Amino acid sequence: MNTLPVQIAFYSLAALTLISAAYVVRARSIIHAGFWLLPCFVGVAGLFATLQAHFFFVAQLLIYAGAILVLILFALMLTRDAMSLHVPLKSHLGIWAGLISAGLGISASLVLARQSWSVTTAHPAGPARQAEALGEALIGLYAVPFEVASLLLLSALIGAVVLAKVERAPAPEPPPLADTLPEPEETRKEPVGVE
Amino acid sequence: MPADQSSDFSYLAVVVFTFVGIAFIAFNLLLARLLSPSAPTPEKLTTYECGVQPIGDAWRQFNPRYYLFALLFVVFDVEAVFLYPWAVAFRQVGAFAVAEMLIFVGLLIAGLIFAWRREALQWE
Repeated sequence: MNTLPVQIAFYSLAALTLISAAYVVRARSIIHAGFWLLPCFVGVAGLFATLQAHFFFVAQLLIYAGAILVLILFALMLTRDAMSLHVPLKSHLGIWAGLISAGLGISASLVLARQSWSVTTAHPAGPARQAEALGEALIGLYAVPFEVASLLLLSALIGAVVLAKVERAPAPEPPPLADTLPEPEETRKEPVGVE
Repeated sequence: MPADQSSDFSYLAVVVFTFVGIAFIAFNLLLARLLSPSAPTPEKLTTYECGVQPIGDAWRQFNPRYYLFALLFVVFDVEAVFLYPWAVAFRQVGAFAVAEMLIFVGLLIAGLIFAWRREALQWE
């Protein structure tokens, strides 16, 4: 594969990822922040593709752009006043978040800078061989982390079941979508998507 | 695409497909904008809700039970992705691979049975 097209692809995908990540942070409504995650995830998937990591490209699209994004948007739909622009997205934990992010960024850069990166002329394996190698690693060397991942998924499942049951026990305060009373005329929202 | 063992896999088709897809939608939206007559009335501009008058705001708090189903979807999506490399490597490893995947899937099935027994999957 030529280097110049790969470089163009890499830099445009990196720009897509970074710009949409910035929009995720800067978005005024949390729903918009959630939707900005989509180009961010797709950009990361494209970066995997430029690295010839075919399986991760597909997995990133399938898991993150497909499933995780749906989960995040569903979680946002459950929050009160998610769409309201009047709810400030500021948090009193901003200083701590900044400190933790700075610490993570510095430690990650240190690790990346201290690593001696070697240049190889070897070509990455084809798609089938990559999946095979990953499968062998999951069965052999990483068997325990693989099973722990299953336990993690199981705990998420049980936690969701417990939370869903707890939410149902008290009075049905958050009204379901269908059977709600009509609201006054002035709270009706502007039609979306029509200009 | 044949499973070539060493050569690069070209993403040119993916790139072309992406741009053709974007261009197709953009072209059609532009064409509709240019060709269609525009005579907006309040009735036309309301949100379409199967012919029923829309009530309230679409952005309200939804039933938290949706979240459980989204999470179930994610859990089994992740499981399906893990099954791919396992299935490809299965021939080399054999019985141990079967046992390992049985534990992996068995744990998740136990979770599904738990959700089922707690009647969390019932929609009322």
